[in-house]
Amino acid sequence: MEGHFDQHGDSQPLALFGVPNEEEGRLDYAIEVPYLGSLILTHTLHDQIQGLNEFPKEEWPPVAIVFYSFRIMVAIGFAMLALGALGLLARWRGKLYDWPWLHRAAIVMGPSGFVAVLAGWITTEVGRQPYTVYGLLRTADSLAPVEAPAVATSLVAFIIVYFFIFGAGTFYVLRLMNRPPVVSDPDLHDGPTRAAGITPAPQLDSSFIPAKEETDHGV
Amino acid sequence: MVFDLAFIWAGLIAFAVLVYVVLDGFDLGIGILFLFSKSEQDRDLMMNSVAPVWDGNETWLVLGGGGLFAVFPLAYAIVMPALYIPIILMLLALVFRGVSFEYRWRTTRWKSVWDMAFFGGSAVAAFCQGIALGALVQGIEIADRAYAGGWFDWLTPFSLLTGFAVMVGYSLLGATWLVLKTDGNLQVQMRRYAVYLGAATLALIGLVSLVTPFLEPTYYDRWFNLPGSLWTMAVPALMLILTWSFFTSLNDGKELQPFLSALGFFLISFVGIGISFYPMIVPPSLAIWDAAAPEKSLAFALVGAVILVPIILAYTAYAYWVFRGKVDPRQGYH
Repeated sequence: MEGHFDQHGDSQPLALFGVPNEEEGRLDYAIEVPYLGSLILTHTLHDQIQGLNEFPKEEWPPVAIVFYSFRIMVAIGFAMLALGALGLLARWRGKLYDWPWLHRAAIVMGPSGFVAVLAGWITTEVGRQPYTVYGLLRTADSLAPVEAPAVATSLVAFIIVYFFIFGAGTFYVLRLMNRPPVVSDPDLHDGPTRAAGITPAPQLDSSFIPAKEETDHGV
Repeated sequence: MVFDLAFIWAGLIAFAVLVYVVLDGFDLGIGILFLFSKSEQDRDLMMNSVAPVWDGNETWLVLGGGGLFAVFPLAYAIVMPALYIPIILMLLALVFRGVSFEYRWRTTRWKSVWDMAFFGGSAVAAFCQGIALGALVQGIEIADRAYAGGWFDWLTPFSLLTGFAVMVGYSLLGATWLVLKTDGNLQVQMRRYAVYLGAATLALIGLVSLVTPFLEPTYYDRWFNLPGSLWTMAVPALMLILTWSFFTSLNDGKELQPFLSALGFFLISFVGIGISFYPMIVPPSLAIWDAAAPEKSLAFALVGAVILVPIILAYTAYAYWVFRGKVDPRQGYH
């Protein structure tokens, strides 16, 4: 996960990026922050965790997958923080509802939660290989007596069904997003009373209300 | 009979499976009856009658499966590979059925597609549950603490019969539920269906009960040995009383009693299966105590179950109370 193969000098840096080289047992093209690895992992400036090269290779998980999936998760986490900070900035400058680039960024970030969760999941599941129960039960020894073709068939079935279901679901979600918000109850032109901060944009700014609604309301 | 942790847990799992059948049976049945509905409006009503409660009902499937995994790991490890295909099919069917509750209201062009997904998912799920039951009753081959049979051991005339029986039985639960929850034409139609479905369900229960004692010598001894049979005779006797209660209440235009009587059919059948099985958890050779996890795990998990099961029961009861009475055709769930 850290791409930490060997003990370094007197402290462990934190590798931001790099290309894990499993044959040679080192991190190529590493961009590192000195001391930060020791600080995060051991809460001291100089202690280090054991490097991968101290373990036999058959005990290694696939290093590259874990290294990248963890970084994807963390990067998305920071992107979320940045979006939140931008939102605060926009609110402070009174531009929360009319800063198109912020809105575009928020839409692009829409699926980011799923991606981050999946990346984190991959990190834990691949990272604990080759064990199912660390130190006790290897994955290769924990198979159920189900024949491989049966497992393959069910896997393919799940993939097809999920693509179909998620495809349809994504289509419906996108179609819903494509419609402007409408106030469905005719008695509630302005929607229900809401606390400050959660009032939907259309209720705040009349320029957001679509043309048809405007004529209805005689605006 | 030993009253220890393993026994308590076997009872809890049996309880979870029973509650699942009681609660999810009727909503799967409504999915099966979807195919025979007469109008768009009827289909909306049928779906809305279970929409607020159906997903809570499936809690018990998770509790039964998860509980089995936690406290009877050996039974879990044997049953899952043995029933791999029907269980995977059931899960895929439940996926289709589950999303159709949401997607059906989001489209007009594809509404019929999701109607069929709701019907097909419900029918396949019910059929697979019946097959799993039949395969378990007919016995699972075990060697060296693992499943020792082939891919298709679960597929026999007997398991097909139980699969079909569960489909018909769930449809009966669905029909009597709709008698309770709707009125007008739909209620009349379902009341008529309930008569046929009730007769068919009872016939199938009878058929399965006749075949079962001949599958395993143990089952036979349970049911036909004096003086023990005097006790087991209570099962068919109760069934007769319920049959009378079902048909007279249906005929008298009552709304709740047919549903409760139909649930009674399932309860009594379940007790009957228990009489055949005990003390096995996976017939014919794996007993409850052989399959149980270590005592410590059983005690630890029991603490959680004792706290959570009453809470789940309470909020489930509350949900049914909130949504009591007839379904209002003008009011959608969404």
